[in-house]
Amino acid sequence: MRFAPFDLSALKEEYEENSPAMQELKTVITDVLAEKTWRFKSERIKSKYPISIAEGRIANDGFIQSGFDCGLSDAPINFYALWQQTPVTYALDGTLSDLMEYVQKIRLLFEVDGAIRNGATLERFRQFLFLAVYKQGNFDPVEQLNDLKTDDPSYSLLNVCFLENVDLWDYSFVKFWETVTKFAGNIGHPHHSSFDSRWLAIFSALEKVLDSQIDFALARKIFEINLGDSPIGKIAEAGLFYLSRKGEINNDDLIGYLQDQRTVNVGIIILNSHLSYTLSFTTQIWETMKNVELKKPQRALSYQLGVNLLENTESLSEQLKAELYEYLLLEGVEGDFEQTRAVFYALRKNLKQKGIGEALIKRLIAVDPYPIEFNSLISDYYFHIDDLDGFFAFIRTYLGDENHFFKLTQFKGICELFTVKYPVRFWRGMVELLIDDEGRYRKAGGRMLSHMLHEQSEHIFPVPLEELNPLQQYKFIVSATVYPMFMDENLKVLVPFLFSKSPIVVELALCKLDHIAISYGPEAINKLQPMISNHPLSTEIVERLNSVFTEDAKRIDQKQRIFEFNPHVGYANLIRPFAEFYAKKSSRSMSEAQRKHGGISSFIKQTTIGRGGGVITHDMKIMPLSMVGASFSLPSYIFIDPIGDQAEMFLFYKKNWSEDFKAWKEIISSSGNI
Amino acid sequence: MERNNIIVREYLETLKEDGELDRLLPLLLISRGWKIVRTPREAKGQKQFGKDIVAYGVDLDGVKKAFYIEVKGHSDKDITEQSLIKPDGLYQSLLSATVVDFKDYGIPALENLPIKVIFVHNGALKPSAEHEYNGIITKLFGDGKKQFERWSIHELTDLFSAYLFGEYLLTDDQHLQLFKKTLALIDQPEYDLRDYKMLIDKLLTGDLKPGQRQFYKLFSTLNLVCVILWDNARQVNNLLHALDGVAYTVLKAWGWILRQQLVRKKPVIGIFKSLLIIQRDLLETYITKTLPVARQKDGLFAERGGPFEEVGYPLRSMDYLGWLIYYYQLQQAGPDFNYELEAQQMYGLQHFQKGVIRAVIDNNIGCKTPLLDRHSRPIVLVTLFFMNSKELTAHEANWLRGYIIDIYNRIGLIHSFRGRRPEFSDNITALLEYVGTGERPSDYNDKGSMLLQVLLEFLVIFNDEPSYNTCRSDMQGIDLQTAYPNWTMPDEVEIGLFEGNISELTAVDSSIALPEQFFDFKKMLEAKPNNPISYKTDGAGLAFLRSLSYIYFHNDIPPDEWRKFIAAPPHYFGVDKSVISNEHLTVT
Repeated sequence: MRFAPFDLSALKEEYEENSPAMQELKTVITDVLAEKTWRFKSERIKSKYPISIAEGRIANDGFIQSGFDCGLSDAPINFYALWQQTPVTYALDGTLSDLMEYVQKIRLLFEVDGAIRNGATLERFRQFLFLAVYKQGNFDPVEQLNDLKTDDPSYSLLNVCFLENVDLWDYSFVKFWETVTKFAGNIGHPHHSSFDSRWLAIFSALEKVLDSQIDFALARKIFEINLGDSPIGKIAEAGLFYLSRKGEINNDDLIGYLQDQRTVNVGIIILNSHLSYTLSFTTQIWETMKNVELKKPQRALSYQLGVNLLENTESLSEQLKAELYEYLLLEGVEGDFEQTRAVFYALRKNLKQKGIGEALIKRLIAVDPYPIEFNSLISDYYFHIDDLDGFFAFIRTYLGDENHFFKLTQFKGICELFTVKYPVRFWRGMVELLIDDEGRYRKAGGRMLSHMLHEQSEHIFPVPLEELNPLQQYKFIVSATVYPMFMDENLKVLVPFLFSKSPIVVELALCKLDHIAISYGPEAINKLQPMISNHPLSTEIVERLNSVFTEDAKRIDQKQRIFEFNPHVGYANLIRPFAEFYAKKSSRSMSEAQRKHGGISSFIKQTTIGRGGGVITHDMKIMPLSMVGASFSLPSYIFIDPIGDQAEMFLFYKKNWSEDFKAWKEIISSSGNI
Repeated sequence: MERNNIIVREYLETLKEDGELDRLLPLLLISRGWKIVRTPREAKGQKQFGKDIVAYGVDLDGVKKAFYIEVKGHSDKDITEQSLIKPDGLYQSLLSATVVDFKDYGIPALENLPIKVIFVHNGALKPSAEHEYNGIITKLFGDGKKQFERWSIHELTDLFSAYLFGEYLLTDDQHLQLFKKTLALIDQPEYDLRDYKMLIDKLLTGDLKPGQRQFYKLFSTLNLVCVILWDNARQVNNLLHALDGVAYTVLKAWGWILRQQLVRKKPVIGIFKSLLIIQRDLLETYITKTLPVARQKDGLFAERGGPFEEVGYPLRSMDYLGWLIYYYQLQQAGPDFNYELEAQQMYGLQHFQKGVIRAVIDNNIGCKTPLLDRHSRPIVLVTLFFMNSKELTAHEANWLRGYIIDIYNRIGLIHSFRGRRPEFSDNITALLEYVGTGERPSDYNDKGSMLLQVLLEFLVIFNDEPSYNTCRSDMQGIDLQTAYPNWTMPDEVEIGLFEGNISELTAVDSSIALPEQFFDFKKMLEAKPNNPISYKTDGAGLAFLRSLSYIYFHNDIPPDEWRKFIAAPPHYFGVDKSVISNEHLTVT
């Protein structure tokens, strides 16, 4: 929860000396502080004092929420609201030592409750504390801080108060640096997870203090001495960056920075902030950089610098340009996706240049192990250069290589973009893949289709499939249905083929529809009916599918009665770890919410098999075993076919389609099927 | 012990007559030293004339008698006014027992023995029926020609506690706790029966007092815990725990007999066989329940298993095959495990069994999809089952070769599409991770393979040179291996076989280089060590127990089991290739 910006004037007005609110509050606070066991007697406090003292008024400005935010639902909210405001009283009326004693007491109390760790509550408390500090006038927070241990939560609170209002006191830079570095050393690295508002306060205070300094040389010296990969080093980096903005660090200084391992990081950061570079300076930077050994985080910065130099150097020579491209393409593209993406996007406007794009693609493909996310960059590339034919050519080129086969069949992004831009051309390309003579192209087409249809069902096949000859239609069905699709998409793919002039194609489409009927039951058949209403054999088709579904339901029912064959019974100790592994994979493609609520893992975690084989769900209801596993969010039919991998093999290796076609013909003519 | 009788009573009260109470009773009678002449199982389908069980032995009064035992349970467990007079009720049964005597001319000892009719029911005599009941008993047995005794739930509880549970179960708090825990957790599919197995281990490692009677009691206890386990598993409609527990008991009990050097003692084998009967009956129940579905197209595939089935289907199929083969081996051993089936009967049985196995395998691609290297066990067992059968037809030989080639193709296919071969070190978690995430875990090991080596050796038996040449080129980089039992320590190996996995007692021939020529490969195999251990288990006529060890403890099958066929391949292999189709491997 975020609070509105702190309105000091309103608060001051509210707590005017001798105002009724303040008088009431003082009474309450006196009593509260006198209590040694606040929490447990809080009910009494609540009953003793009218709600209006704290709760009513406080409720108006939203403070009331913070009591709940603490998670202390068993405590009266007015009590928790009170503690936030007491520093104000001390600011107006108490002594400094009283204030510190109060801070300590609050800390003890809330350490017990755990509320001190609640961000929102702390934030509010900090605001009040600041008001108190501010009202003390001659109070010097730094002195107080020096007396406190760094692991004391009130130390952190006071420190941020100090940093936020550092401009209210007159500190020497050295004194400030001592305080801030002590504090920074205690809160962890700003690049790590501990980064929080305390770091914002430090950086903001640093700028405020530097703004008021005249002796930049001293500050720079302190910064340069303290550079390094530590929290203090990061403050020093920020300081030097500030000084460079003030014009205190010149180009020669920066080249010097690049030559030293300790200063190279800040040197690159500062250089990256430049809007333009002269040719001579770029040459100087590049020649220096060639000789510097960079660590991994520094390399990421240097690639950015390389891009900046490419883009923002005046009259860049061809040779230097070529060197920079080579550097980025050869070294900037690595197994780290984030870094590579940064380089990729940095180079984006150059991708249309002859050779750059192709070199980038080549480099991406060569990364080993290949991060599957690179597919999105490749997609982006072809879309960016608007080259659909190039994309298909790329697919065909690289699918020839076994090592690239698996990773290159999962393009989705590009399909979405191209289907919108060039629907007909794109789908023609897809159809060509699906009916190709080469198994690997068919397989690639099948996989791409399966991936994209989940997202793009409305763009399905704007190309007339009836133009294909029967053999091509046959190949198309086989290729398009090996990989999983949802019910609607499956129907959309298959229904056109029910109208084919070839009885073989019709029969194959019907066989595939049998699978769908088995998987989805009457729902699928009902959906299909209007889609084939103009088919001369629509009644027979529906009858056939109903019969297939009924027969299969009987078979499944018979099987379900054998608990020994139920994996949740027979392999209960294996299915749980499997589900966890599978959930890992699923989480890559499914949203977190889907995984939590629809995934097999959550089902398994929440259920136990009851006596007699039923399933007891988390709400203690008994669910028949036949339901086990059915909650999985992918269509079930893909698991019904236990020889799915054989189908895949068929798709991959099948060469002699004509013979296959003939065999079907014989079967159909002998069975007299529709 | 009194308080512990409750567990016995509660258990007995739940039993139904058919297949439950009357399966348990013979164990009690045997433990009293009585000889069973006929059990309900043997009398099934025939009119029993009030004699579910017939036995003879010495009664408590020291007199040797013939006992006609009539059993009523379930809805008839209490004696009520209705149960007395209804058709096939108590009155009619007892009347038949008194009127029609049991004759078995094969047992002359029965002829002149005094007869006692015992009515067994796991309920009570209701007060409302007491008067009528006494009248019937007086009318039927008042003349003193036949004696009568009634064992109600109270007597049964005392008898079972005293004769069966008492010594090994009820008097030992730890044993009882383990057993109670087992029964309490048996409805949890994830339960690994650890308490039950601990109980069996403790029973078999405790001090056994000398004497046949003690041995008898120990094995009766084993039988009983198996029966109770089975019964509880049946109640939760999941026999897998029972299959697991009973197999463990059988293996451990046999290991114990070997260790105690009792394997040549006929009475010992006799009582051990009662345990085998329980296992065979259990397997029969399981197979009868599951086979109609298992032999359907993809019957072993669980549609609702979702993506897990990529692992679950092959695992289930391989496990199922293992149980099926073992059950069929038990069947072939005959009702008393004496292999007394005549040649023609055996031929017919094997013909039927092979048909079923083929149907299960052909309809379930999971049976041809080994995911773990240890899946070589069911595959080898199937192959040996066919090759060891009385007659291998041309059709079966062709099928067998196709089966092995299909397995090879499946391995190649999965390697081609998923990048993995069967996991070598039985690391099932790594397998789950690989299939679940689609990425190879660092601890997934498929560099070595015993399975592929076995498949190649089968090609030699099939005299299939073209397939060998194709397969050979795919074996680059795979560490082909064969495991041999340590034949210098035959006793340790054999006992170990029934006590757990004996990988430490095996010698591994690794990095086997495949010769370029098929003929050289054959020669190389013939030159490999061949020191078959002479198993005492086989000598006792229980060779099938080794199959149980292979499928249960995943012990390696010694290569001599199949290599003996290299020199002398079954008919249709090796010589007459014309009957073998020339299909070629499709995936490399």
